Amino acid sequence: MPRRLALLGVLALLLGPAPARAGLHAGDTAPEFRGTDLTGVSRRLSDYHGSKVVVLFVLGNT
Amino acid sequence: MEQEIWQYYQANAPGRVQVLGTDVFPSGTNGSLLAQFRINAGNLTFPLLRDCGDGNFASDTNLVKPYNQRDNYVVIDADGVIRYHADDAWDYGDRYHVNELRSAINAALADLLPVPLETRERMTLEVSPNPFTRRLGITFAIPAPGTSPARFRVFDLAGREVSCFDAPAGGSAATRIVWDARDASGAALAPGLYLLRLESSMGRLTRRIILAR
Repeated sequence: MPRRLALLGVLALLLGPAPARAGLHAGDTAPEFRGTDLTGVSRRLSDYHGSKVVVLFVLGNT
Repeated sequence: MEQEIWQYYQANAPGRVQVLGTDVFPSGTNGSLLAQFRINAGNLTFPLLRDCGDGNFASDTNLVKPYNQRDNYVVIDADGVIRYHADDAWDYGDRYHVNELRSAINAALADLLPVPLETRERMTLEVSPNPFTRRLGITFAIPAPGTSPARFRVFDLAGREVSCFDAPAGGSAATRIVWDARDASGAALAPGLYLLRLESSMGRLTRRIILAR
């Protein structure tokens, strides 16, 4: 039994906690963000308000 | 994949869709990932933004918190409302659903009229309470109503129209009405999140409303 418990503990450590969902959902107002593109041009989300639909491809850590 | 979306809308809706790639972590850790992403994906031509987030989960000013720490796809309409968020429905590793993405972009495009922002901003639309249970108070003003009547349309998040009703003529003064959250057949709408849109000859305004019966 102790070995089984230890194995379960190791598995839990390896799997880690379930990833949390993001804080915003469809229907929410998107927060402002700004960044500099790879050519050095500064861009903000609000640059597109009222004129364009923004499609955001978010690059994460994997 | 992402480049295909960008090219498709550049060809079919020029100047009305902006694709952006963003990095939720500081450039020091993942900035190089952006450049690598561009190379791996075949020399992307849409902007890739660095330093949009500080990578701090506890911060209110980073993009990890709203959009999660892993790859994700989001559609934001011209009113700044999130119309599609892959993280809502799909786990990491299974988030790229091109048909859903295009459907959301197309629905947001349908709402986008070539009306100057300054004109749109002169119209007003307020809702209360929100969330609401049975009746929603709607206060609106249309400075130059025009000859055609204004109307309200209600959509679910899939872009389906669930209700439509005329806005009473009130001149340029603020007008308040009460909506009972029923569809065209008179049936009560199911609880959930909807988009209320005011359409007039001056343009459109959209508000997110939450029905909680």
